[in-house]
Amino acid sequence: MREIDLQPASVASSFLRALMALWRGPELTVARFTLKSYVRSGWILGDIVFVWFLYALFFYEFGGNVTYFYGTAGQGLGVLAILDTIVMARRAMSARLYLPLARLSSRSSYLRGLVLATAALRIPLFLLTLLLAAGYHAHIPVLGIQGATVSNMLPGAIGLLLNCMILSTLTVALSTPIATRRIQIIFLAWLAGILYSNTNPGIVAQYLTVLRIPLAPLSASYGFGQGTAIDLYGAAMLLLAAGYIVGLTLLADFWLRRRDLILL
Amino acid sequence: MAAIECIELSKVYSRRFTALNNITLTIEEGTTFGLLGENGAGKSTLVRILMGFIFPTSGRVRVLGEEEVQRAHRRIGYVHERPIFETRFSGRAYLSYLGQLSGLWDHANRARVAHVLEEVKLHEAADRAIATYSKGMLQRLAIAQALLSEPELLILDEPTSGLDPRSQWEVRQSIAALRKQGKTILLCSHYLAEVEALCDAVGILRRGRLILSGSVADLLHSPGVVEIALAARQSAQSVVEQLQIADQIIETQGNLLRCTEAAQPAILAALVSAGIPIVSLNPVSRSLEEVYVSTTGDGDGPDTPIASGAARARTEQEGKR
Repeated sequence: MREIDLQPASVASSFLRALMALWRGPELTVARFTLKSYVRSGWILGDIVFVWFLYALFFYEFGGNVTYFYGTAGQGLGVLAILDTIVMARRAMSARLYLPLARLSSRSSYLRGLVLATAALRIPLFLLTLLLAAGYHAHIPVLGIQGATVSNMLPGAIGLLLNCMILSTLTVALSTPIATRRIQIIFLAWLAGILYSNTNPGIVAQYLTVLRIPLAPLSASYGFGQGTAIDLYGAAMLLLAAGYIVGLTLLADFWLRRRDLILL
Repeated sequence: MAAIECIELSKVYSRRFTALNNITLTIEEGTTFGLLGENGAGKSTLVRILMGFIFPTSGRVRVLGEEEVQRAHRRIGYVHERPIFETRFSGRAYLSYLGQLSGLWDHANRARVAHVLEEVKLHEAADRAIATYSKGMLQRLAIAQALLSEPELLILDEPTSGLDPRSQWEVRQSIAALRKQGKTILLCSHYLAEVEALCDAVGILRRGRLILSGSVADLLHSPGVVEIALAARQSAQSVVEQLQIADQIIETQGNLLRCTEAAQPAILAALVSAGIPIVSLNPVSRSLEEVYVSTTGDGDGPDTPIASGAARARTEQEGKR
């Protein structure tokens, strides 16, 4: 029987080897290159300008609190997550895809790399927003946001980042050539149903509220920035939100594996 | 062993358009196979199926023994029909990324990238942004990336298309060198002379059908026809009239007479007895261009498949339907 070496040095070296294998795996290699390519293309400057604009519009004169910060930043960064993922996905899913794909033994690793890249970009953009709010209102204690403490900022940050990552993963999954036009239209119809149920009275709107059920984890994650504590329900919703990212990636992978890739 | 096998392969994009129609083709290991055909004949569709980018509607394909062709990707070098790179990166940086995807890291990556850049003579421009490369350089970079993982099989989709003569020559030199190394190469091209010079076997696609395939040597040889060259100033036509042998002659051109092998002894005897000097006598071969034109006809005729007898690449379309 094979003996397992549990010496600390051996465990550490196995851990390092596993980390190295992960770092050198096709997913992270694709993710790193996709991000580098995005930065070199200059689109990252567009992101920075967008964040700056968000700050100028909502935070410059603000002496707001944690709730205001997450309420506003959550919506702005959510829109940004959709916009720059559209750009990134369009760049990554062009004819340039053929050469990396010609080296990989499955399309899945490329897709996972793209999802990782779009998700990872959320972190520096959120930190930039936080930095701007903190830097220009340094006279306000802790991060320039009224009433901010590490313990009440952290749940909001987790919720905001998770929501943005869900949006970016969803955008990848719905991008061409991954999703068919029919899927894109079904998604738009779902979105229209939700908006209708939100804004209209009447029996149809009431029935359509059922369409809002899948939004519960996003709503809960948004709530962490509005002062809602992460209780058992919140933790379950957080897990579900993380599950959305995994699930959407698997769904996109399922679709992409079956698609004819005729890219221009 | 077969490097590529297609069995009754079809690809239908819509009810109105069949890109590939019941193709059966085998390309043996170590062969350089040229795939010819006009635009829209189905060459790129076949290549995309072989690379696993699109899926056949029916039929089977096996590349390097793998039915799930993506599993063979690390053993294939692929050149796309037009250069598609991340142009903001240098040639070296982009090749390094592709090398990493092929499992080459650290020193092995650097060494291999430097080697392939040297092989295609791009080492001096290696650290320049790809955006500054000429078309010829881009095509050589495409070949360099295909060589990164020392592939057993190279699939080259129109590698010299749109290049100036000098760049075409350079790319052909690279392909010729790979052929010498014994690599299996599938070369899709519009250039008949290129295919004739570089390939051992050839297939002609027309409207999604493989209408001809076989070894280049077999296809270019006209069985049973010989060419007799008379002295340079001698008119072959007047000799034919003088000796009254027109019924035994296939054609004349300048000082050249063409006849069947069966008629050759009688014609030679007539020439010798008339004291007409003969410069040479050779079996007739055709150019690939002549084969291509005679096979594809006027463009509107039926697409009947023809297979050369000694061909390793086979067409078996009609019989298996």
